[in-house]
Amino acid sequence: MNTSTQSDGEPSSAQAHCAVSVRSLSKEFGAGSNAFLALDAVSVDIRKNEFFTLLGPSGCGKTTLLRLIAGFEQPTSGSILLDGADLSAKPPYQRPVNTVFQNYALFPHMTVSENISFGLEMLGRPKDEIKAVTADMLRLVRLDAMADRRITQISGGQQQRVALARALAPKPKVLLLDEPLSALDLQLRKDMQLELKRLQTDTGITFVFVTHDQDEALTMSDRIAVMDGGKILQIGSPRDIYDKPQHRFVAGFIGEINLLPVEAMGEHDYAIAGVGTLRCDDPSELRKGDPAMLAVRPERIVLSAPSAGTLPGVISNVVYHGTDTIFHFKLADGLEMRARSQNNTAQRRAFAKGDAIGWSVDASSVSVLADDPS
Amino acid sequence: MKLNPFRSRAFPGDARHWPGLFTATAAFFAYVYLPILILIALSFNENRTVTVWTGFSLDWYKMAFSNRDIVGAATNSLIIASIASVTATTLATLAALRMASNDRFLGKTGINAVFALPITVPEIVPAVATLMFFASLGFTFGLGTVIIGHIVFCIPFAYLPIRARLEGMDPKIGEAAADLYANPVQAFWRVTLPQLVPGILSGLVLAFIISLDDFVTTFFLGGAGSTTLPIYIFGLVRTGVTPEVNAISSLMLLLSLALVSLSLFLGRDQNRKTGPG
Repeated sequence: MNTSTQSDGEPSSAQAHCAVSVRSLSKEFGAGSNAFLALDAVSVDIRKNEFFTLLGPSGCGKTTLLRLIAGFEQPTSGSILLDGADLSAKPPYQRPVNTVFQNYALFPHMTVSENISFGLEMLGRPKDEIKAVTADMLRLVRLDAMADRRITQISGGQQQRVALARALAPKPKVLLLDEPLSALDLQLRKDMQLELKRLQTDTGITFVFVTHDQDEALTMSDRIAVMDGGKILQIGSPRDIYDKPQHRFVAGFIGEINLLPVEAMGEHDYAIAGVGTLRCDDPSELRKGDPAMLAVRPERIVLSAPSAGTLPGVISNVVYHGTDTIFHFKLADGLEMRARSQNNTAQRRAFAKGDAIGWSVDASSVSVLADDPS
Repeated sequence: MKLNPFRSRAFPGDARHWPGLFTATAAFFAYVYLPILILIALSFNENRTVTVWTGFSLDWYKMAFSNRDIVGAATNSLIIASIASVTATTLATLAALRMASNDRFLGKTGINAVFALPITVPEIVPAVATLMFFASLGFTFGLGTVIIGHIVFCIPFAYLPIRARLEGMDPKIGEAAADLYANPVQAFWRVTLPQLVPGILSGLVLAFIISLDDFVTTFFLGGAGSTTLPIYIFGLVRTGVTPEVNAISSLMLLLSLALVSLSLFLGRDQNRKTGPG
């Protein structure tokens, strides 16, 4: 199920604010019995000036989608529109799209500023313009002092910034970033996340960012597309993706989550066998008696003494994590759940193993997984 | 706590501590290089008798340079080596570029194996075969036939370092060039070729030296006016070694050393691996 925000039925208005429109794009590698479907009829509209992230495990098709947009691979079927124009027939060097490669792929025989000016030179821009833009880019990524260094003479973090500047210099309509932070150590990665976000805001260029790191996706993106098995499972803001996962895969891939097998009772109510009922704000199309799966984040569960309006459970384990504590508790049907409670003074709860507790979740924090009710 | 026995100094199997290792190494290097050093020393010997040292002199070098036969042979050698190495390196570069691409085509593995074959086949075999082939076509033997023969055996020597260099290159760099609006021709001249230069230079120097040094192919395919230095020196040796031969040999050694040093010097910076990590 592809949840594109603009439906295919209204292409004219959709394309008006679309930087990239991907239309049922498929890519198959190999042939015959070795064939592998890397991308399975994916459709997505990426808006102008947005920081759009393709998130998924390795082999989910995110890098293939990026390489198809860049033109390094040819699609098996489907099309890619850039500002409404079909890109399919164009080789990479005619697409107004630039890429930041995972291992940077900088030109080792050139200096920092030669790397940055390469794209502008190939576009045949006037000499003084090339000089001015290159100087601007060096300032933008704070490498003014390194302009004449060779690529082998600068650090990994600096190489990363050269790769960014090189790809931004020709002012592409879309910047594609293929896990650009994966080679950096943790602290540098955190700094670069903020830097990338700043660059995107400053330049107003559409960023399409590929990562398998959920933290990176949540902190930087305007919208995230979660991919698995060559399909886009869900597209939404980081908040949507985290709070309202629609698929078991999305729920499990990002953060921790409790999955509860339930039975639909009405439009908003679900019964947990032998325990009670949970309410969910989102309307569903399930009929009474249909099996369903609910997803609840551990930090959204409120624990208290057993009382009316709460559901019963018994604490089975308490794990202290410093900033917060994780309470494992069992329901009457044996299902184990986890609740995360912050260790601040207002919320501190002292439950011990074996305590009977009451738990509740606000109806706005419960999501119904659409894909598999089993 | 026990140390890893393989790292301990006393480990008896450790080749670094075998008795007589230093002596054996010294003897080996003496065996290989002493004759060459003696030859160079004797090229400065005043005395005509090769084995008797009487004093320092540059006479033999003067004589060598004023001997028209020697100068002619040296000129031939340089002409043949230059044309053969440049042609062979150009062909080898094109072949290596095609063979290093990711796609597969029928017979790719086979072609790759055949490229190195001339290095392992005894040189006399292709030399005789080419001789008979040219004879049946009615070619006149001379500089032309020698050059063609040299190009053929120079190709694998030029090919191998270029191919090795290509395999060490990040394949994403070609994609990066295309991504930055370089069409395939621009990408080749601005990105691929400059990075390939150290490999091409190594190949060129290797091919040049192999050609300069060749005797068998030159002997079989040569004719009137195609006498090279090795052929000429061989002729001199039959009539008796003169210190002139020492002088020419020393000069050839100097040229080879200079070329190898040049290729190492030009390739030194770019050989460093780039990229993160």
